[in-house]
Amino acid sequence: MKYLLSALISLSFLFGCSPSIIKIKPEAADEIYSMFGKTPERNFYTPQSIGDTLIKKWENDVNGGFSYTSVTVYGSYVFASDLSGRIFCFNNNNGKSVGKLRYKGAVFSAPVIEKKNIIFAVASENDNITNLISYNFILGKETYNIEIKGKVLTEIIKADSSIIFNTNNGKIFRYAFYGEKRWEFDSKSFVHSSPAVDEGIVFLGNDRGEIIAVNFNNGKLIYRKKIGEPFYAGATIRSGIAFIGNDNGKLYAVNLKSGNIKWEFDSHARITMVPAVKGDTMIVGNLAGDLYALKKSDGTPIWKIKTGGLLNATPLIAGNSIILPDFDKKFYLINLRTGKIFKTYYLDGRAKLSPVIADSTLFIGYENGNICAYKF
Amino acid sequence: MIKYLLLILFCLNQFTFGQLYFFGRNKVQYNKFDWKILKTGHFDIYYYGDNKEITEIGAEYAEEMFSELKIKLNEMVTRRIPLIFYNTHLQFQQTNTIPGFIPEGVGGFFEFVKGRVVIPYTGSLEDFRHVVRHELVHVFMSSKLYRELREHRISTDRSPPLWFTEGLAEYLSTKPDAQAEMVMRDAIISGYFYNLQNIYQIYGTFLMYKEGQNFLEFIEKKYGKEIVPLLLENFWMYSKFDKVIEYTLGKPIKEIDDEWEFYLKKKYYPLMADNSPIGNATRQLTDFGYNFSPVYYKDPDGNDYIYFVANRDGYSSLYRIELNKNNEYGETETPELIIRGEKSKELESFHLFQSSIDISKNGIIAFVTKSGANDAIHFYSVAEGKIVKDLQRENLISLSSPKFSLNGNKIVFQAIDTKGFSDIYLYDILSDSLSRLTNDYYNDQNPSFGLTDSQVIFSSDRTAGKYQKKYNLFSYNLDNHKISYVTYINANCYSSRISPDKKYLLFTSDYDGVRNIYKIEIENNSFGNKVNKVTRFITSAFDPDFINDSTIAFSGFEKFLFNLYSININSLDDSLSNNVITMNMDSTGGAWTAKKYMSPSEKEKLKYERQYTLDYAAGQVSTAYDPIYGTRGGAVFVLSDLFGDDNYLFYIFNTAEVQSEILKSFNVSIQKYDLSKRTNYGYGIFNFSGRRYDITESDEYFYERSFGGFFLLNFPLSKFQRIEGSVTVANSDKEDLPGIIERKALLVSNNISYVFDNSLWGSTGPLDGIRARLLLGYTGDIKFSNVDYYSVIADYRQYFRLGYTTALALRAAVFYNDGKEARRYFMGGSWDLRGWPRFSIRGEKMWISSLELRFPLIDEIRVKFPFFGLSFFGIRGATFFDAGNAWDTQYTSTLGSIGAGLRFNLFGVIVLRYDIGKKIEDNFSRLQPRLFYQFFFGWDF
Repeated sequence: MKYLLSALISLSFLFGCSPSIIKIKPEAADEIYSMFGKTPERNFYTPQSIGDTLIKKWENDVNGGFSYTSVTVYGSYVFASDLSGRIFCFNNNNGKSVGKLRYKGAVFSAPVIEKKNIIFAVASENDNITNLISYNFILGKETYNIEIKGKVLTEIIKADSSIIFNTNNGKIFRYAFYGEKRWEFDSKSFVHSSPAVDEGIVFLGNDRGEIIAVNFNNGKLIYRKKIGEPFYAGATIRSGIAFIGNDNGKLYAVNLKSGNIKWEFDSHARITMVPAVKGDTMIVGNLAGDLYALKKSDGTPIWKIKTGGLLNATPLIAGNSIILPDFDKKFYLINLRTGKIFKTYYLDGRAKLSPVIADSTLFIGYENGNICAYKF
Repeated sequence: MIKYLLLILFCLNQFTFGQLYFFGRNKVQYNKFDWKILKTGHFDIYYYGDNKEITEIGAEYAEEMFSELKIKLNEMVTRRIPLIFYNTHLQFQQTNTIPGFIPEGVGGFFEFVKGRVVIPYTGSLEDFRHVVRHELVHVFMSSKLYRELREHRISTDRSPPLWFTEGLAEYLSTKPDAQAEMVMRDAIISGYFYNLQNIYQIYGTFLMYKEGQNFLEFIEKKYGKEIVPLLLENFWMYSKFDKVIEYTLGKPIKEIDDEWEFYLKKKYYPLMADNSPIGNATRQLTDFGYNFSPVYYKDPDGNDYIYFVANRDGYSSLYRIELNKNNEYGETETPELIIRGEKSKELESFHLFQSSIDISKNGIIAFVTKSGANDAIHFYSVAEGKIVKDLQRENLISLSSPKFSLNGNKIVFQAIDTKGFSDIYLYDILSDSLSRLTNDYYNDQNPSFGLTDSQVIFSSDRTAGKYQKKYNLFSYNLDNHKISYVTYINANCYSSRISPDKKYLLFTSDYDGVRNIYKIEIENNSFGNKVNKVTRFITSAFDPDFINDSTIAFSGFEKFLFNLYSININSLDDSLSNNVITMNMDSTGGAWTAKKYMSPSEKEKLKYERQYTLDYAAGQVSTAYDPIYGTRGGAVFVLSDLFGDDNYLFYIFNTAEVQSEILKSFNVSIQKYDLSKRTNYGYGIFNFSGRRYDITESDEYFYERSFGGFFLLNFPLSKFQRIEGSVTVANSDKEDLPGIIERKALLVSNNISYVFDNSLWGSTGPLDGIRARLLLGYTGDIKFSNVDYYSVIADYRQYFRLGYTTALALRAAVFYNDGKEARRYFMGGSWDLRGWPRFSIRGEKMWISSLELRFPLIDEIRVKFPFFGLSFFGIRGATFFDAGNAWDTQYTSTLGSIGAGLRFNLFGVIVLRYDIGKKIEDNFSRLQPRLFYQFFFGWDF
């Protein structure tokens, strides 16, 4: 009996203390899904159609839970961050864990992939600081680790050889990939909204209900306008128009350069997701569980469905379908044109991650850090 | 390890079968509930009896709140939430979902183990909605925080402070009402406001709830409504909640406290310009405790009295004070106790906060108490000094506020029936006939007779139109049964009284935020359409009653006490005449209806089938011993059904000391306890084996294997008395010296006990009342006749209250076993015969007597270093005298002790005791030369 116990203790010790390392073989990655929303202006659209049948390819889990972020993909490797300060790497061919990085704190943002590095921010527990970390996953070591005051609770954008991110206490940073700070802008307000970048402008909302535009090149303020209630949702930008939802349930279309409101739409419940766009159709959902398709050009409603759930995570538009995660332990496949739910998949936990299609696989993440990969 | 396991088992046993303490009051299950289930989108709602309509309304409230909280807190509870509705608070108090007693002030609770929400209906749909919403906030908050901590891989035993959890539940479930306003105004004006840094000092109090709610309202006003949910989102970030607040608001806690206090002072200090504290504007009749419902009576000798109900010493009771006519009915003597409540089953509770009393001109007092399963109205004759009549009906569960007709032959009162409807009833005392005046789900309350005995004025939330659901005053015509408005204002009006000269109707209303006194003029036998303000108190006034045409007595809230006051309403400030509300009765509109949850089909309404889930599981394997002794282990499981009525307890552990003994050293027990009916019973089987400590001879052990079964029965006669019985059959094989001295027996043990307990407890033990147990038992070996003895235990303890927290405690007990292999008792130590070594005095017969003076010593000590502001509350002192001894066949000598000690209640869980004294030795002839010092734990006897 005692030998068995000793063996069990030794094994648990061995597995509990597995090394904090991700080291993978370089591969010619044809496809890279390198950040949340794929592009700096946030693009939750893929032309790939998924049909109506998904076949589970593999399922694995990370250590903690997820924020409302997404995985990122490098060739056949999938990277996922979690709220217990871990970064995991999975092999998409078999779902096995390739390695993991352990830090103290929580990682809210999707790991940004830049060449052979992942860049992520670890927000500390009990201290108001964040470590911005770049890690070379070919060499298996950190390239830099920079301590920043404030907590990074939102997404990191990769744009033009640099990254953009903000802390909760309202500071917006631009860092070069190699770790040099290019500029810093202090908005002097709490910020829980993830920025988007397009046309040389960093756009985001803040807790005061203001929209803020900052020059991408020099970090100077372009405009700052209070247009309503606080913003906790991230922005998406299309053709010079920024779209962002607020805590009062309003979705705004804002002229990126002037900050003038082009149109607004009232969904009547808090919006925390980033709108997804395909062509002239904009998809946005709220915490009442209502999903809207609107005309991107003027905000006219095309259709509305009431899921009864809680829509936090940003959906993905795949061809003519919407893949919509619902906090109520499921995700839907919805016809983009008609708004009809044609398939509902039930999960063992609350859906958290924004769906990603890469390497011919759909990635769904739900409660307790579970990742499901589906073939279609 | 076994002792720890046994300790756990002991605790669990108490948990599952709470009535079986040595003493203790009883939670009596008077009713058998036929539970049914209504299934909604997110809830399984359990109800019984005729409560279907209220349940459907409650279901709608629950679903409405679910949708609201989902958005506000950004959380989704994905399990089905069990909601258990009781028809009345009295039946709610019988619930077994939690083991302890439920005080009258508890409006409902969320129980974490099984995620159950348990709520009584109390007659008011709006209150019901509030409680449903309040408890669901707890459900959502605990779900969100648990998930958040788990996602961050942080220990889930972290939770926000109680002021926040309850404050949040209030903040999200209701708007600040007159009660909250009254408490906050008083806290600021009277100077007992506790800021965040000190709020722990009012832990668990009503003030804490209201301050918590107020703080979040302040946050919303100053920082925005989105900040409150952010406090939950950010909860994982810091282990100290103060840090979470500081981080979320971006300021140090001291600065936030200053802002909050300034906000409140700015809000409430201006009230002093036009309003006054009650004490400044009136004559105070009482100066201590919680005093309610004064009614005036002039006895045949011309003496003036106020009768009232109050809690002045821990018990709610009926009192009177004689008024000083020469001093305009002020400055009275100490109140005289007329009827002591909460000590007998007939007068279990006076419902101080809910029910008022009345007195007829011929000196009959009508008052309500809980009496068994239901409430009863008692009629007390002042002349005879006794209760002369009772009114109790099986279908009327809760009764409230009886009021006499002018001729004193009838009363009107409010009652809640088995459907949960709160309506007005008329009772003819002479003919003993009862009529129901209203019958609907509107909350009709505070009835009183109007201008004639054929008119009843009452308060009701049946108000329609633009002031929908406000409590206005209505009149009921007993001749044509027509209901019409007396008031129609945007406020809640209660407690109406017609002046003796029938010139005006007096009532209380929260029109200006708290309850003040208002009046309506009566002209030509009808009520006018103008409401005049009579008082301008900063806090609230309740239950006014006329002493004469110009002087009234009432209960008022100030300095966190409810005292009685009198005031001459004709001598009030002239500027009050400008405070006139003109009523427009044309805009009353049609009656409002409550929205109900409509079940998609009858299949959604199911009969409840018992389902058992795990309450508790614990296991332990110990390898701490030398490998020679092998591995020891044990496990405990407790299962119960949703209502906690049916409990199963399993435990298994092994006491082997060498590996070869493992198989024969299993200790197993399976027990079942049924608490669903008034008669609680339990039965089980067991197999115990292992070394036992022999209390016959000190420090020796014997090996025993016993197996058998037992049956327990517990019949509560009332909350205070019960009969207990038990039968145990056990085969016992005992080895004093293995293989040499052995004893075999088939033991049958029978016990029957009578237990009485109406004691009132302070922080370290009882302060008032009586506790007693008389046990008769017989244990015999029906197979080998090796054991044969009978038992008598008589234990009597009485507590004489000398002051509010000072008491003289007396104990006299005899423990008597006589016969073959009779079990020995033992004493000595801090729990009984102090100064003597613990459990050192042993014998088959034993007596003990103790006399102890318990008194408060230090209310609070603050230790500033090395901790920061750590406070210890309620250090109490005692002086004692003990005497007793134990013997087997020949009485030897009498032992005793005398001394003094300190007691300190640590976190409300355990009492630490330190005694110093001298033993009385040599057959009670001399004191020991030195002092003894004894430190232990445990409650006072």
